[in-house]
Amino acid sequence: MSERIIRVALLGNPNVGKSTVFNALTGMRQHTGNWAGKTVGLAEGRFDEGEYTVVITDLPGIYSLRCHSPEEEVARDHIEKGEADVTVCVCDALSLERNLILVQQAAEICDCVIICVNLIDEAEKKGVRIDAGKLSEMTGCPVILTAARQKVGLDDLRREIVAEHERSQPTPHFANVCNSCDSCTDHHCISAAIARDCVSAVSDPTVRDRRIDKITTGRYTSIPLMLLLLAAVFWLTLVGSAYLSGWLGLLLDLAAGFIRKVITPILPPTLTSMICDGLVATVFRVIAVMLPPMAVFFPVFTLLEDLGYLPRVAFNLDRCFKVCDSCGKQSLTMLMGLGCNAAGVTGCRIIDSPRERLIAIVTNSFMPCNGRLPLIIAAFGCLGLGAGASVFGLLIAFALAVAVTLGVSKLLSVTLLRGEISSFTLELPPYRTPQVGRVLVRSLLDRTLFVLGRAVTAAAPAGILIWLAANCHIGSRSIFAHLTSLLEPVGRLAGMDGALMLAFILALPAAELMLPLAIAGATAGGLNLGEIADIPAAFRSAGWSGVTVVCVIIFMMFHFPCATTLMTIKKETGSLRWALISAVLPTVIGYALCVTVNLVFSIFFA
Amino acid sequence: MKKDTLSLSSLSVGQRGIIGRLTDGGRNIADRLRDLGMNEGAAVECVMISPLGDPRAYLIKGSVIALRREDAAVVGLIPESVCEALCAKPIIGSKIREGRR
Repeated sequence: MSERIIRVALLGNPNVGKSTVFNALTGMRQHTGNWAGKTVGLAEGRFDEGEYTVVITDLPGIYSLRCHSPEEEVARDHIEKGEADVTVCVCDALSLERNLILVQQAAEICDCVIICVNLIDEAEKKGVRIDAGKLSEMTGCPVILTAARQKVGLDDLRREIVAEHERSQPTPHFANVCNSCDSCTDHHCISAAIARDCVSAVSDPTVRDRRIDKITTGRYTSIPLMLLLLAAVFWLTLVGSAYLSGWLGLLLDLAAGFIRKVITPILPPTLTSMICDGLVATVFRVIAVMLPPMAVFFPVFTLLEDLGYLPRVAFNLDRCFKVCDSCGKQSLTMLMGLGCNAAGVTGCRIIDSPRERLIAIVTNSFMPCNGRLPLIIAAFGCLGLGAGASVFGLLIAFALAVAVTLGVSKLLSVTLLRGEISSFTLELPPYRTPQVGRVLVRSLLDRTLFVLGRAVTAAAPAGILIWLAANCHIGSRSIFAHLTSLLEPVGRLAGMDGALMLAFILALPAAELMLPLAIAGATAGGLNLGEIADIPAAFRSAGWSGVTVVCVIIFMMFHFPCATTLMTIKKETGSLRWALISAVLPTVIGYALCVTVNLVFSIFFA
Repeated sequence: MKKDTLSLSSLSVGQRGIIGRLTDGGRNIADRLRDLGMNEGAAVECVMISPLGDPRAYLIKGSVIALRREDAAVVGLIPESVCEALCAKPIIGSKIREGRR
């Protein structure tokens, strides 16, 4: 049987559920959040229908094919070059009039256009109905109504794709629409005429959203709500991950013991020690501290994203960023950076202006990512103040990170990245009920895979190296001890010590290595896979003073980003220079702050 | 005598108007705004204002778009069309059906 291929391009405005349609048609996993600009790059998938194999390309969400931005160019190129046999234009039932502008532009370039009106379920809830027959008649294109989240209408869409491809004579599009004017070519006029006849509503569908917005963007309620949500996220992450860490720690303890029992009789003792105390201990400890916070933070963040709340945050905070010659969307990239700096850097694509995008990229690592949180939390734990105070401390640390981000953004704007303040348009999508179950499951799976992947590629070799450094001796001391004393003056000046400095440097591959490295330093190279809760005790017994704790927290927040992030920065900016600046800038700031804190302490308190 | 230059930035929350001319002032934003649905003759309503005063958000053709003051100033309004939204029909660009949903 010959394989016949139909190439389909998915086109549409941002935030119409294009990627949901894509996922539903192809069964592929691709994350979709509820704010404009989430899909970046071209994803491809396929499905079989009848004797055909349909290859779908998900184009980035764009408002027009007129090439104002790289995304629009990519989409336009793809369609103009004839890369698609059929173009499916995905529209949101609640903003059909505007969506039709893009459909008309596409119809001018492509012969085969299918209009897919998505989010029919949301429209139904708000009393809005689309007359598919009338719409098809007026536009000359086949129309399929879908609710991709509920998997409604997708079979019809699949069948229609094949049918449209097989149609020999494509019907003329948008030929007889406007009755009021003769040869009407104004896309807006045509869209308005079509919407008038095909869309009907019982009442204003935006009423509920406005009510919610009164709270999320109201003068007295918006900022307290944001702070409350942030505190809630931190609290959940702290408490939730503490429990999970405990459980995971126990489980991995058992696994580690089992591994040791199995390999001891087989291998020489040195090798056994290297594997058990080096490799396994580091990898398991990294998993135990890294997975729980990610397992809590990312699902919560994704839920807020799906809800549609996050653009409201950008809307509320834009003025602060405008003062720093930057853009409100940077607040969103900062939030993403809170989960993972590399993800935050990639997310900067939602910022249109290249100058502002660069500012957001370079300052993203000021946000403490999930990999850095475990050590910061452990450091707070050293102060012995309990979970409530730790949350408060985290909020203060977060506020500091935000302040430094804004300050450095302003600094960059007047020095290296001088330029015009660009225009800022942000779409505030309707609030949509997140699919809680699916979000939790997919988020958990994604993050678990990420953590495990990093554990294998970064933590495993690092664990072996640490063991070697701790157990191989040059002269009378181990390599570890040599390096530590080398870095001692640098560390002492900043209120820490050589062991911690070494830990920071060795944690370049992955921020989450910081914790096992710090423990290795605190226990002088001896790695015991004890209980997670003992970590603060270990630090205290290693002689961490109050100043050390504060400086550790500060340097943990402000130092070079991890290797993955640096590589991502290089990729996104296309420039090694900016990757280097992104590494040097936070380190200099962090070191300077630590030295200052140490100085102040020694003058006034010692 | 100078003509009335009433622009989108002068709408306060709850007011609406019909869009007139878009002046660019060399910022290339007029095209982008038209792509978002803000063309001449379209009805627009100011629905939100940020707690810090700027930007404001406008309902246009069923979507809500946030714009900073200087960008909203690009969109001219027909002065006679400006009124309080409460007394006018909702902007959904569609016909209102009778009866229950």
